[in-house]
Amino acid sequence: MTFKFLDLPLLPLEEIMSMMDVSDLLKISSCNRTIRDVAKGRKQIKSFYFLPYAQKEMMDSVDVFELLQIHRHLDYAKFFRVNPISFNLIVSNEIGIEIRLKDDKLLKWNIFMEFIGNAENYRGTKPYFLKINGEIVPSVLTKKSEMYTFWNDRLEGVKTMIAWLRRSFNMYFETFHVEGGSHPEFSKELRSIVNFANYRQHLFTNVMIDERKQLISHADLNFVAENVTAFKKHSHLGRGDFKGPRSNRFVESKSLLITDSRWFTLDHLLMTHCSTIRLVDSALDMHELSIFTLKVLKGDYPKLKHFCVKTYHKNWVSCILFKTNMFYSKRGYIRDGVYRTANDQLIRIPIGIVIESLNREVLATLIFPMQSDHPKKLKTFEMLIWPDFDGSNFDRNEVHYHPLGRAN
Amino acid sequence: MSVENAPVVDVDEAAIPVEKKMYYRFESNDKKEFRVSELAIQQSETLNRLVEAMGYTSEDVENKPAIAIENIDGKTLKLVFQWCEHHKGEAIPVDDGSVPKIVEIPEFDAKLMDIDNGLLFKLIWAADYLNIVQLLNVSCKKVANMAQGKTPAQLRRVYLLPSDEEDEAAKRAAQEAQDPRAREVEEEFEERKRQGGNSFF
Repeated sequence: MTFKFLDLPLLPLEEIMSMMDVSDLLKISSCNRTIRDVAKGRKQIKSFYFLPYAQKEMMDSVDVFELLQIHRHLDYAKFFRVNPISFNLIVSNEIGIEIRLKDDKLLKWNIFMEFIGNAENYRGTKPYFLKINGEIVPSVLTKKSEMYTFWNDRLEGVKTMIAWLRRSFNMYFETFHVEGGSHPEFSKELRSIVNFANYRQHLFTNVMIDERKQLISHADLNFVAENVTAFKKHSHLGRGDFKGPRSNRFVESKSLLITDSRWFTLDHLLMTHCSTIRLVDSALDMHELSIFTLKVLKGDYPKLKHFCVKTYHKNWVSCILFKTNMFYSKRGYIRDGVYRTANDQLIRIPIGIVIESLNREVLATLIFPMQSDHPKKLKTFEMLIWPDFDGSNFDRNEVHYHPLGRAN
Repeated sequence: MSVENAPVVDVDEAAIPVEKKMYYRFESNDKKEFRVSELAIQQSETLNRLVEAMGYTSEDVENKPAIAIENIDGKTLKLVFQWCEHHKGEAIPVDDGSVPKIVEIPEFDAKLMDIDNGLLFKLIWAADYLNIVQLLNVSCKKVANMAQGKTPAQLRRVYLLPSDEEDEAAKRAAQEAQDPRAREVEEEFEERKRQGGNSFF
């Protein structure tokens, strides 16, 4: 059943468009220039945000990808400014692109590339034909948030997609996400994609290395550490059964997170110049931590603001305090304080010891965390370094210490 | 005298003269005649103004020829007047500016609009021409609902939308048809440009 939409007078045409929701309006706008011109003047097309959350949640990868392409015809720059949408590059057994929308909850949609010979293994709910550079790529929606596109060579497929998105949409990939892959070509694909992506954009906001399901070889990890740069956050999610050596060519990103960091030695730590360092399940002992702490207090790590290590070792606070007594004074403590880090994370300070230099400049605060003495529970060593600390933000009881540990 | 002390008078309700309902006669472009109540006509701003301007009495309505509506055929006009009779006396909705505009289609309207798309198209034309706000709203909503969950390719088929290239070609063809000399001039200009001439004249 057809309807002669464009033969309607302007008023009913506008009425009909005012009753459509954004996704329908965008789709119909992509069909014809006259409709696009009318639609541009309408308020609801300005943003994806006018869609209710429930409707966004119901959208599948095909819908979202359509919407992105349609927005390209409209005010795409504004679309990106208004909508908290980001794109990630995924390399694992699957290679592809993840689209993320930060709303009430985080919504994710994936577009994967696969060899066309394997197409019959994918049973889909909705076939789709992706048009890239005038060529049609057969695709299928396998789950609501997963779309597989089929190529003669999946590596060439992901490269074509990256180049097309960069060129047509000026799209920036925010996160480089690597997971261990059992695929025999994994290393080759990883290198090829990294080199190709680096040619298009020289750094990412975040790098995420996930070894929780499958370990990544030492060579591949070194390659990623040396060739993929994240300016904001470098995360490494590990698992306990790997204890071999790792690269010490380490990150220059703002923030570093390593879970299961037993491989992360003092050498690694001394090479790390991040503003936030968070190590979980670390093998660093009291002696190593106090060496690093003294270096920080000396000013060797001017970027560092927050340092947190979770370890099984005990009694580190008193040990480190004893070592710092030689050179610094502890002028009091903070109770129930809060510190806001550069990436807007709030760090609670139940009780923190303020460390000052001999000329009474506040250098750092060592935090006494709330923790149990259970041998299986991780103990936390946490330190805030703040040369710009003004001392007046917190309820502080002045307790004076002598540099050699004797109270005044 | 206060209101409480006013004398109570029994009124014989049957004795009050009841105003006779007036029915106007309209004629479609295919010469079909309809009789529509005065109250139903109020749903249409165009017809309401027309009958007010004409100032017809009951006798005039019977004696004078039916009011002709030239642009609308009998089948469509029947639907329009059925709708007006069903919704007579209802308030005319005011646009509250909500985006997207929220309109619900009542059961009667849904049944009335269970028609083919050609007739729905004519109904929207009629509602727009006769300025019947609520009928225009519900009929437009029905068309808007057709777009739900469709891909652009399906929308192109349903709404008969030409692509940008087809649109452009049609526009060019229309221009050429209007002015056959234009193409000749353009070709001549291209030819001169190829030959390296600086100016056309």
